[in-house]
Amino acid sequence: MQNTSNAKEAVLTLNKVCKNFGGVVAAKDISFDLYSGEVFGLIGPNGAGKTTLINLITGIYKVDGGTILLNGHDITKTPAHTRARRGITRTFQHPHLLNRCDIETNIYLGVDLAKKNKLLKSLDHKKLLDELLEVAGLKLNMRDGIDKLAYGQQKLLEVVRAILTRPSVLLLDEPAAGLNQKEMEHIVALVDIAIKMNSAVLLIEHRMDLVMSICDRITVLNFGNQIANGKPAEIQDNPVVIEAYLGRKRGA
Amino acid sequence: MILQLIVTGISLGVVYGLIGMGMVLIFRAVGIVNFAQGDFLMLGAFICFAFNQKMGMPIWLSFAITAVLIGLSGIVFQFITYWPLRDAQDKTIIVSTLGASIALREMTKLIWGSTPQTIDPLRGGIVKIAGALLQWQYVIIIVFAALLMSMVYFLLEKTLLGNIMQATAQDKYAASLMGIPIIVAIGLTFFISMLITGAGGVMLAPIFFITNTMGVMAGVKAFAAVVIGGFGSVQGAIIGGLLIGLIEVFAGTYVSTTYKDTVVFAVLIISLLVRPQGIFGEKISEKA
Repeated sequence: MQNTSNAKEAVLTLNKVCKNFGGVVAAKDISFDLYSGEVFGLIGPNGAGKTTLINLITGIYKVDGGTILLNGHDITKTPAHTRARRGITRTFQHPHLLNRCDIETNIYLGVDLAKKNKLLKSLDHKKLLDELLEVAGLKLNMRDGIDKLAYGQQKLLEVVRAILTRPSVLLLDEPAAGLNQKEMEHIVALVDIAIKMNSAVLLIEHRMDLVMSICDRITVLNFGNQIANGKPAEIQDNPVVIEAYLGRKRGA
Repeated sequence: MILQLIVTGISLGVVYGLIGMGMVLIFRAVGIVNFAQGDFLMLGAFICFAFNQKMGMPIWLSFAITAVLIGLSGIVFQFITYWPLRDAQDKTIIVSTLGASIALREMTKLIWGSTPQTIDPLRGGIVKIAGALLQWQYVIIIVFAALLMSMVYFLLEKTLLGNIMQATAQDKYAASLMGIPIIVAIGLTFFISMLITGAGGVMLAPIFFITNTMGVMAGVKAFAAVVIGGFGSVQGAIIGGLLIGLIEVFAGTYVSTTYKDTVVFAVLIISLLVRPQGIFGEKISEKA
């Protein structure tokens, strides 16, 4: 895996990214590369700075130091909406859907905005949407309001919406939180589609079974520091990681 | 007689509805009640007066240029009163719009003085409809306001631009992450809001005298219309505006001209007591 990764150019590169809030270090010298077609896991205890990192990548927060590259271009100072148009898409831990608009508007708004890009204009969105909805197990009446959907359906819909824009970087912030086993399987299937269309997926998730099963590589954060990098098997056995999650290990 | 009163009431009402719609658009976009809304109606009347009376331009041309200019001034207004304060508390921004309201009124007085002025009607003369003699101006107001309202409605509901504005109004954070430049969407909202308000001013100007305070009462009544219709609802602003216009005209005729505004505000108070969320309003829960 590592060899093939090095061979191609990274879609997204973080280079010594730093962010402080007052005296609190949210990110300290974070560096990693994201390659297309892989799932990159970002894990760590609550407050480790995972969501902050997403906000730095999407441009909601400005970095205090370091650089962020998208396809080799420096986007460190690019505003959030421009980054979104260049293909960085995210979903939220708690869905941010437009509650006053119907489902169809919600789904297509992202695509309609992205259609300025000529390449996207020519693609068949309806076909992809049907496929995504089927994989997500969503049977929707497009005219319904968002309030007709259950929480899990809203989260799935958000992932569908994100993938429909054919993002080059897909940031998933705890997509499985609050979902049941069946819905979680739908998430996995959706991520598969994203990978097949060569998106680079960054996954923040607390459910370790999910992280370990679908991630190609993982980095572990604790108090804004990158404490470990590696393949799932390496991370699982890393004593530093176990200590960060469970506290100092005794015996066994 | 009755038909005349109804037409007069509706024509006043649609103008209140237009201003109210302008208020609602801004309220939905930035969560702020703009207390300077009525002053843009006044500004519209004065600018049109300058083109029409001072420079001798035909009224329709003056009308069109004025509407666009007032729309653009809305963008400037947004950059001065809202954008620098966007992270401040709501009440700070509301006070900022109140300040702008006073500044606009005084500025107008400095430029055009305090003598009441007037402009040409969009169309003079009388038209006979169903046996009733009606002033053309009132009929034109109704047609034009209806046209403007439908255009705004179409823009909001049926176009990508409208979706962009709605998305920004509902969730700025998510909207920017979908690729929407927030500042553009908000600027556009202010443009449209002020354009329809300024147009309302030009249409009212031939009926009332143009003074630097003409926007105050119109603004308050438009606000009342929005409250009665249900705050935040575009349809509510229109229906509320019509109600206020009709009540005003009928109260002026059957009660007394002096107390017509009293009747209007009595209705506002009653509507607040009976249905505080307004006609189309959603039940508003306490914010967590």
